[in-house]
Amino acid sequence: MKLKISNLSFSYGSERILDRFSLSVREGEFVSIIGPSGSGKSTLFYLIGGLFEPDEGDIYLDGRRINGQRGHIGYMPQQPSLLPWRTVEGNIRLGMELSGSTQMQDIRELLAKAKLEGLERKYPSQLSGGMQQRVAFLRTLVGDHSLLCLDEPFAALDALTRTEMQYWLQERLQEFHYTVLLVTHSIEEALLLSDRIIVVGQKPMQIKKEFSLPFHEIPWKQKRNTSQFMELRHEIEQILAVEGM
Amino acid sequence: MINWLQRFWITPVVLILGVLVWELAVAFFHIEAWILPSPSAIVLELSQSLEHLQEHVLTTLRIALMGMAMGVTIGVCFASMFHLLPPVKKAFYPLILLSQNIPMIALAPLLVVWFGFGDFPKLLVVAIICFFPVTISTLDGLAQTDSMLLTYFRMSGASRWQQFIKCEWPSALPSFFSGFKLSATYSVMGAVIAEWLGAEKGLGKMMIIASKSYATERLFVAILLVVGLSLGLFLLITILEKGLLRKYEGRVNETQNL
Repeated sequence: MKLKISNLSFSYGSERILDRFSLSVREGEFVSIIGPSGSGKSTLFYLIGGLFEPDEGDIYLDGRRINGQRGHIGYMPQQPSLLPWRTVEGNIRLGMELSGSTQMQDIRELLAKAKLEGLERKYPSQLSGGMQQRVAFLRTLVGDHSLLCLDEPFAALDALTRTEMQYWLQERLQEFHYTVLLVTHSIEEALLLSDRIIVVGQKPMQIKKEFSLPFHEIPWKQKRNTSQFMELRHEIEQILAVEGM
Repeated sequence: MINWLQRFWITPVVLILGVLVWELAVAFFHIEAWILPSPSAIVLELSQSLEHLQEHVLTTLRIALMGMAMGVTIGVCFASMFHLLPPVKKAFYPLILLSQNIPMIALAPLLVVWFGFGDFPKLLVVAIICFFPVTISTLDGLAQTDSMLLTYFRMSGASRWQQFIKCEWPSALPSFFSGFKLSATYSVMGAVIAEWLGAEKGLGKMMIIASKSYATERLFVAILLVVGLSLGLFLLITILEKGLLRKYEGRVNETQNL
């Protein structure tokens, strides 16, 4: 098991955010967590990232307990959070600097592979929102962490850019083999990208239902049009409607 | 340049008109030169004493620059320390605020008693005046670092020092420069006050002698030079700021469709 979360509890003041929450993610798996806003999805990431210490329970990464320890995961927030005074190249290098990754990767080569050639000298302010998020994703990649936690990475983008980004991300993930945990509001996004979807309910966060997706063999462009896709979307919508999303 | 003229033409026009009125008033009302010299008399005095003004200007400029360097360094150190060690801030921040309420004119003679008539007490006067705006503005800048950037840093396992050097300090740089510019304008004034206490040369010394001997046009020359020096330092730092913060401004000025 890549990531194993067992009986995790956490309170913010008197409010119980997580109550004996458990979740396991296999090596190389792409798991999406979808649920109403304010259900504690970001808090779960902060616990995995070591920003908060859980009240009870344990988090294991590759069999090692990482409760309250920072620097073990790659993290990408909703806002690109690029440093405005650094170039694209400098921002991506930050990912290596912070993780203390010794193996210096060729950033130009990485940009070219990600179809972003020629951007290395640009500043974030010169890029569109979608481009900024791509750079932020590459910054997360070069940190050399095997688990990536993506916290609604496309939520701030317009619908068209968002679709492009989902395709782009899926392409990148085929080149690099990572284990990914994605928090999202978008059912379609979860269906397109994931191997498994976990639908969660309001405070304290608990798992409503899990879906293993059968779309691996289906080409990207056709996924949306399969009857299974539409049925699953409908079913997840129903669960979330009950939760009042 | 043309743009600049279009925006600020009114200031020089008002200035020239004012000087004109002053010149005419002095002539018309027969005002004594030791009460209010005419602008032309001041300019004449300036041109006649250029040679020996030089050493006064250089002396004052040296004290102002060295004192400012000291003050700005102390300011940055204080701001960094307060930011990184909140208990230290709690203990010393109110004291620093309090220190600014002590009138320099009362403190300066004490410094002379303690440290003599050399350069050191003069530098100290300038440094005490200059460190304060830098401390306050830098501290503000550090505290206003984007919380999303900080979350990213923490989640990515950045050490406290990495967070400070790579994120908080660069974020605070524009605020630091606001304080630095204020310090620069105060530094010349500080040097002049320091020289009033006892100096052999310098614009402060020149002012004292001029006012005691009713050489009012010389006093005005000294005032002009103090204003000129302050403005010059301010401009110099503004240019430095523009150069260093060009990247930061990119977010407003440059937009590209990608």
